Amino acid sequence: MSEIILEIKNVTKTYPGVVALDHISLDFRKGEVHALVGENGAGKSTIIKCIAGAVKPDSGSILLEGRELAGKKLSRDDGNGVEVVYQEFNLAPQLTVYENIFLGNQIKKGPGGILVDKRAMIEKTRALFQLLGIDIDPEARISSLSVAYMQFVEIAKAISRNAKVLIMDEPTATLTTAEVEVLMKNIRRLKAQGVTVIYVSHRMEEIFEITDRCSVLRDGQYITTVNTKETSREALIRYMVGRELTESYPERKAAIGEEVLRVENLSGNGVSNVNFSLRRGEILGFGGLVGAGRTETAEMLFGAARVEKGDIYLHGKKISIPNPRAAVNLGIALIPEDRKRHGLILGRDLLENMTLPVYRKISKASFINFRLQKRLGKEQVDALMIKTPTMEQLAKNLSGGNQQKVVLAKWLITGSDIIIFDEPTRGIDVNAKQEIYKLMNRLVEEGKSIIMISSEMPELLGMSDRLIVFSEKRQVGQLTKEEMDQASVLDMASGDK
Amino acid sequence: MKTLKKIFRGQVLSIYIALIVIVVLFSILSPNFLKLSNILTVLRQVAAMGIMACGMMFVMLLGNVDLSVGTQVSLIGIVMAHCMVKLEMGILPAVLIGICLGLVIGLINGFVVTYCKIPAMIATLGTSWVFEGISYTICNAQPIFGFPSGFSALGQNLLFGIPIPIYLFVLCCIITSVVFNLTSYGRTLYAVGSNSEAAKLSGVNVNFMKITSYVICALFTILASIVFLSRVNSGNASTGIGQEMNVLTACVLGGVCFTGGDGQISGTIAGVMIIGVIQNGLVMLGAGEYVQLMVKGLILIFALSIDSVKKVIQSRKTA
Repeated sequence: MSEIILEIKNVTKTYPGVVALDHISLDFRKGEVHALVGENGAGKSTIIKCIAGAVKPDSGSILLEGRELAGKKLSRDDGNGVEVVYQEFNLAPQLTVYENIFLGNQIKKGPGGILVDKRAMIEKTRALFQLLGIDIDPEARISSLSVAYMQFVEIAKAISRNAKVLIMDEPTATLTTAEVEVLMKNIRRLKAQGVTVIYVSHRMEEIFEITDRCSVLRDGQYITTVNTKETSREALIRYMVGRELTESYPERKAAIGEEVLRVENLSGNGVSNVNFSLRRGEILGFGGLVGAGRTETAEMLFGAARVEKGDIYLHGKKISIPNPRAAVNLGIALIPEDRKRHGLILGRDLLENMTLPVYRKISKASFINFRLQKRLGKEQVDALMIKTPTMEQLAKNLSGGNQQKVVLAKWLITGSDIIIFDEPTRGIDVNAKQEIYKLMNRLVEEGKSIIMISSEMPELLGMSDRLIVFSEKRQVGQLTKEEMDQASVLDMASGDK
Repeated sequence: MKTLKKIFRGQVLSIYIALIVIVVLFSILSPNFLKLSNILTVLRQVAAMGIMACGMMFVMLLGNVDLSVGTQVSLIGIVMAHCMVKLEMGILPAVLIGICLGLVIGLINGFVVTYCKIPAMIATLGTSWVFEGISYTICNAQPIFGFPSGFSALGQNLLFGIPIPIYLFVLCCIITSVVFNLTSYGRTLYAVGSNSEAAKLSGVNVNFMKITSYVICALFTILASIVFLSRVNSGNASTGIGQEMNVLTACVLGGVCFTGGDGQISGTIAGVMIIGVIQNGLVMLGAGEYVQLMVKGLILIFALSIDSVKKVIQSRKTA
């Protein structure tokens, strides 16, 4: 058993009304990959913030190699050995890779060190990348890199500062399968070099692939730490939710009817030649890797991106969708992947969020009928079981699952009958996921049609009536319910046949 | 009680307290400050600024700004004066021409910001120079006076002992407040200002909102310009210069968020009053124009810092 490098002792942190961390004690060993798991709101992010010094715990201590860290802000210079790779990167997009690696820490030369030693920094960066097995040009601009590569730069930056503990917050959320593989390889390399990796993720497969130990948090409480090898997915989920949860998908009895939407040779927004039809009461899945062209296609259907070629037919009639407004009027709705940026107006209240598209419809002589607005909102809050104290609650104060329901409510009030869900359950906890699935079922049972983009294979297979698989900005295949299985989808999505 | 709370929520209460403190301070320092005649002077002075501030709020709620309102006032004023004096038109035709010109100005600003995609601050700085240049060209840098009789009544006469511009200011505030709080246009303004991307994806025509906000801003400026012209009773190309900073400072001081999506008319009124009171109070104390400029500059920076600090605190709370 190797030595303990980072120890969290009895840490408590409360926010108004919530105990985010309740006397948490955890230890991390040198050179291990340690997963932190738990539903949303379990306290994972708060722990990370405490370790990183972004948040000061109310009580307790955090020891790195015996040194107290609690409440001290991490700064670049003190090099105290803890580095965090956040979901949102701290990179300067206009600068090159090597400039970012050495940001604030440049190698200098010349009299008094007034010049930067470009060559030395490039060389060092190259050496660092070689060590980590990353293939990036040190002189490339950050803005020209893909998200995955930006993440590698972040990791390299952390390592260049002699990180002993590297915290990764949902590192694979935006990566494609191939990129995840590279990340896993990198993590193993780091581990071999004695770096401790704290790995926060929702994705079970990765946790079982890469981690040594796994600590479970629930509602700010420490539940247990297990050796990953000695546990199972079911056991872990049981710890997380505190009860048995069947990973099954709710049944539905939707009658699949006539064709409502047909797309022929649709090209644009980087995607080419998409063909499919959508029927009434059907959930059509869009499968494939992130960046394969699924969201891009959805954007065209919603008028958020320009169609270059091809035709869209709604109820057999050819239509054009020049902008989202047109899509909304045609009854096509999009529930975007990034609900905080694209789906909601976080600083406004629930009611405003839900009724924004229908303001004109519920106004007389442009004066809003507030009674009607409230009634429409109330109906949806009840129907979708949105948990909120009042209708005036700001959208940003709701949990992920409830936020997603608000976005959905918006489109139900609008009366949309084709709803595109882009990663409907991203960042939503296990129980809320089930609720979202049930809602989707109810919608198709009521005769609406759904297009669901998802990167979660079980969800895709469990919920879709039919599947369209994308790869490298092209549609590569269609699968019926009978033909669907993990292997065939993966095979198609990997492309290159 | 609830509506009262709504009106005074957030920064608005503290800005009214600040206003009272400033008034008390000046009335101690200068015995003439609280005299009725001086109060009327202050109100008369703030009326035009307040009318412009109402218009500015439409633009600022979307996260934009209109730095050309000052020279808009000059240009519209000069054109109306030119029509009345040099072209010997009646009051009504001249005002109509002024209104048309204002609408065109609003459309130009809206177009430049929306379709040329220039940051509003730079775009309207540019247009403000254009407007200023045109004003000086039209009047050849000479004041124009000798308006038809009756024109000055609007700016100078009293109605029930209160200057007419004050009624106009109050009317503008009521209209603005109603539009902001009760109409679909107003609520959409707040939504777009808070998150224009999400609003667009909810089917809102964001470009329409941007352009119309500039046109509405120009409409208020037209009114302000008429008030200015009749009060001074002479058209001068330098009338409006610097007004945009007064208006901007008043709005920001009143809690209108510089990045959009937040702000109430009740706050702006207080902001306008503070600027007016300070301007007047400094004059009473014998401070010159340059001291006023310094003080106003400091206030603007102070107000903007409040805005930023507020955001920092908010982000800490949510973190």
